Amino acid sequence: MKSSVLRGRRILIVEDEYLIAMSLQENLELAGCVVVGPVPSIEKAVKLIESESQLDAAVVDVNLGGKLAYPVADILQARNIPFVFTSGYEDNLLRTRYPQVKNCSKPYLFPNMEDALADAIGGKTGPHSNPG
Amino acid sequence: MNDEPAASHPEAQGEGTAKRFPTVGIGTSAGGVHALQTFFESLPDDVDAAFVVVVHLDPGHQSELPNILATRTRMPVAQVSGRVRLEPRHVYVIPPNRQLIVSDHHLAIAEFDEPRWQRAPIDLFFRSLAAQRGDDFAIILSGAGSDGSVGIKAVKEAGGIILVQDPDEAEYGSMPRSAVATGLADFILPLKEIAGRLPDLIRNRRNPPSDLLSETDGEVMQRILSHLRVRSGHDFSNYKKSTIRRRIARRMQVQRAATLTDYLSILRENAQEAQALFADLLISVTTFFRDSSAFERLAVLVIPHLFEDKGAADAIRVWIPGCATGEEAYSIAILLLEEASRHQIRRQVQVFATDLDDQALAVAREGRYPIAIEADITEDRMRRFFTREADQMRVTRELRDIVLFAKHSLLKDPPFSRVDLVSCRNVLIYLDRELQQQVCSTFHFALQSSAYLFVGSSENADSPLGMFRAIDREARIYQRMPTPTEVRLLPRVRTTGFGPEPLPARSPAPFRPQNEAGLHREALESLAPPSVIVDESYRVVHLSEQAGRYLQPSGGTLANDITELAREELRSDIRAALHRVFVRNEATLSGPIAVRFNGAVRRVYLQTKPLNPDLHANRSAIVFLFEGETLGDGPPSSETIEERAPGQQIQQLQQELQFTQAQLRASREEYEGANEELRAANEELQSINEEYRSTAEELETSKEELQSINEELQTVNTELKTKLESVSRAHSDVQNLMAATDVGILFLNSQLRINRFTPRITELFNIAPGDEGRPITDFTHRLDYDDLAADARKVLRDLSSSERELHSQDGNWFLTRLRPYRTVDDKIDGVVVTFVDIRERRRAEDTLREAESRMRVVVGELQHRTRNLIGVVMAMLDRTAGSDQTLDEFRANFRERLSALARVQGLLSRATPGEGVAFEELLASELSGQSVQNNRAVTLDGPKGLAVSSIAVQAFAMALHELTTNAIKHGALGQTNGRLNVRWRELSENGSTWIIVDWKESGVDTSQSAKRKGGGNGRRLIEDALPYQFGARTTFVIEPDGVRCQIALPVSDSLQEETK
Repeated sequence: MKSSVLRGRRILIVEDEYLIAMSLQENLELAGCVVVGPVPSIEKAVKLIESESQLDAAVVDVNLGGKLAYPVADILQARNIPFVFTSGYEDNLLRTRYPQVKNCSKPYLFPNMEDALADAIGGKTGPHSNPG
Repeated sequence: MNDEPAASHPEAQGEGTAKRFPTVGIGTSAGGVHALQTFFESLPDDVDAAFVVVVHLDPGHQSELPNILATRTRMPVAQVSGRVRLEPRHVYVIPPNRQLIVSDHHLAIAEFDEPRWQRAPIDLFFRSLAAQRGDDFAIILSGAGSDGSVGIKAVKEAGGIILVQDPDEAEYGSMPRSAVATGLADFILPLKEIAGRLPDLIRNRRNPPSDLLSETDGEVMQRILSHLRVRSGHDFSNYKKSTIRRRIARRMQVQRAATLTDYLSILRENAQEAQALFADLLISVTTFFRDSSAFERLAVLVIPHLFEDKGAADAIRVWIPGCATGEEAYSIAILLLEEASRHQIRRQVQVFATDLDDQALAVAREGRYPIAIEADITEDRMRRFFTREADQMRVTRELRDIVLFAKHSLLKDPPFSRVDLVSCRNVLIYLDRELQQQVCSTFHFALQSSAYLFVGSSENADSPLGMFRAIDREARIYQRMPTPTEVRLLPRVRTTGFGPEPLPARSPAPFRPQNEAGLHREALESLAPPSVIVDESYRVVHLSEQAGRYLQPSGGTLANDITELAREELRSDIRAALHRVFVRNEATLSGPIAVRFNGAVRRVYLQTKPLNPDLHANRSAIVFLFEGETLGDGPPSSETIEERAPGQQIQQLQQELQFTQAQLRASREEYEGANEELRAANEELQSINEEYRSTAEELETSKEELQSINEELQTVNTELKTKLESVSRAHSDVQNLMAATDVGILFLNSQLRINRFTPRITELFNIAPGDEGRPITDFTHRLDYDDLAADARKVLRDLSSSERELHSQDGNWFLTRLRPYRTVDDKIDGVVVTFVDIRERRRAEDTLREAESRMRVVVGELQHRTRNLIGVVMAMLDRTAGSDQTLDEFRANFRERLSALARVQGLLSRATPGEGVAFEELLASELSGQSVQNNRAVTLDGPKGLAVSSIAVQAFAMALHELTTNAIKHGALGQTNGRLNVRWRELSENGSTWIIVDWKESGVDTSQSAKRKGGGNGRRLIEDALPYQFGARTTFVIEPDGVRCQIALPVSDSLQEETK
């Protein structure tokens, strides 16, 4: 079910840890996604989002080289792109600021991430949603 | 002698003293606080005695005395508040408005029964002390009045020792002086010497006197008494033995004599000691009905006569000189009242009791005696004449009213007169023989004729002879004898040292002519006609030298009456003549009377004249006897005349008789009138006298009242002084506190006017010294606080305190607290506002808050890192699992990577936050981790302390790990000819800083390594991960002789990130 939701989706990975980013990328590709990125910093992420015309979802690491990834989240929300946070901590601020956004706390197992992403995408009908 | 009892003695004594300790009663009043302070300061702490302090305290005030004393002694000081057992080395203090009594080794308090001015707590306590046991101590210190003087008598009589502060040293000398005046003080010393002497006396304390006298001591005792008899002339051998023993034991203690023999030698060497012992023995032991048998005899033999012999209007007058504390006087008065109640007619009874001793008289006037008197008085009398007042017996009003106490000296002052009974017991024994005689004369004068004298059991009134007649020699009751030979004169008073020396006593007869008048009198005596002085009862009082010629007593007992002594021829004429003299008070001259002298008949003329015609009570007459010519020498002319005109003479006599009778009638009427007037005057005088007496007693009472009020005032004053001292001390403390404190304190009264403030207040308010009394609302201040007045009113209204933190205009913070001002008696009288500078606290709070938030960040960071790390490990797991074929290989590789990761974490944890890790350490850690640190094939070259930012450390270290692993497995460190050279440096380029690391392997046979997949992991890390994560620029080339790798890592950016 879920893999069918994810199949063919363009998913942006914003993650500063190379190994984790690689691991996620591999898993998503195995699940049939098209990975955009991955990018390690806010600047690169923002640039990529602005330049990329089609994004179905995103996975955003909250802490990017010591900076909080709120600007990335704000742009994504502004553009109505569903996304999932990954974070090392339970952050109240995060919850109050982005109540709708799921946080898949690190370290996560890929199936959990898969579910979270599927939920995020399924909760709304994106322009390229493919119900079937 | 029997040694056994003597040997056992010291033991018994030792045991006794170990168990018993003495009580030291200290009585003081005005000036006592200081005296007690000095006393306890000077007293050692190890004196084995209980100290009981009795002072006059204001009943309405709490006493500070225990606290005051506690600072002067290490002994515990307690105010007695209930029944408490006496303990040695303790000090007990009387509470206010209570009396203190000791009984059965316990102290107890009781309410006063007397009005304030009559209280004598010191006397009371001393008396109870004396009743309890014998060998205690009484100390009198400074004070006004005379409290204690009676009590020490009891203590001394019980065998205690009396110490008195030197009155000259005492602040108020009257109490010590009064105690000294009793003559009972054993020591009169300055305070410090009392404190010094006391421990000594207590140590030398003897056992109860009953232990003292063994059989052997009996002889020594006799010698002491005989020595005393020689010295004082008084024999005490008939006194009660126990009393004597007790008194001698006491003197021994005072004199520090260990044995009776020692004491005897002290007595011999020191004349004053004999006097002291004598005085001690005489301590008045007067009691009611002392020698009761004598009193019984008195009641039977004398008292009824006093009533019988009197007319109804006459008062019965009794004089008791030397009455001391009144027991004797009241005893006699009791007898009189008892007798009076047996008679129908109410008789006026007056008992004059006199003494020299004011103190004793005061006691007597008070008429209060310890309950112990019950032993001396029958139950009936107790019931009728005494009422119980607390633990004392008081004489009833009836008894008290008939006794009048007065100060009077038996030896110096004129005596009372017309007295019916003199009771003077145990006074004469104090006097020497000459004085005794003089006193007897005084009594003789004072007494009415046939009145009675009652003296003590060891006294008599036998000399001078002829004054008194013993009625009952056993009971020492005497009756006055008329003394014809002496005209009553005031007894000559022997004075010693006071006033002018009186004329020497003159013996009435024979006259010793010493001057011309005397010579003249002697000549007249021989030349004048013989004469006889006769008293009213015709008794011959005196004869002239020649008068014997006319006397010829008749046979039988020798009579005194001139009518029986004179020659028979003269008797009828003398009788007639004397009759006229005494009845009419007229001189007479008789006609010639023929008297036969040795055969010759001679004419004798009789002239009779009254003597002292004015002194009614003591009339006498003188009879002159003129001798005329012998009959027979010629016709007697007188006879011729008588014969010549007998009728004429009778007529003349009758006329004379009528005239005289008329005159007699007139004068009798006159006399009766005068008598009436006198009686009226007398009654008036009596009543005036009565008034005076009651006035005098009232004055006495009010004097006592004033004295005791004065005393209390003194005590209050002293206490106030002490209080004042502590108040001014507290005041200066407050002043210093106000000046020294760093806290701003503002005292406002209930109208919010300034009462007081500390200097810090002037920094907050525009208040200057001198602004006290102005309302606080008048002043501006530098606080962001407009509600001060409102808050203060709220505090006054709710009686609650309020607190708030205020900001001042100059940026400071103050904790402002308002609380009600409570006076000592818990009234609210304003508001106290404190301003505490909390600048520092605020700052600390801010710092703390900052640190807290920083810590929260650090904790978040840590969590992030840890979770990230696990994520990395998981990724690493996937990666390792993906590249290696066998499980063993996987395990080895994974373990190595994990331990490399662990090493990095170790480095990071040691690193100073924000500074990263020095590159050489990173490298060394990796090399040593793989045990190639000291490999000779390795050369390292680069500056020390080049920091790698901690964000990059992990990835960097993993890259180095992969390089090293590969070098060991396939490269320079795995082959014999291989060399590894690592160089690093810092490079600045276009404003950013780089760490450049060159990894160069050489002498490696790369043909083997080409077969491998080729260090895939390490290469990917270097070529992809580092540029991805940190924007590093890397090259990785496998040259023919080995690997060349360059890593350029930017530092500045990531480092700055870290410091944020």
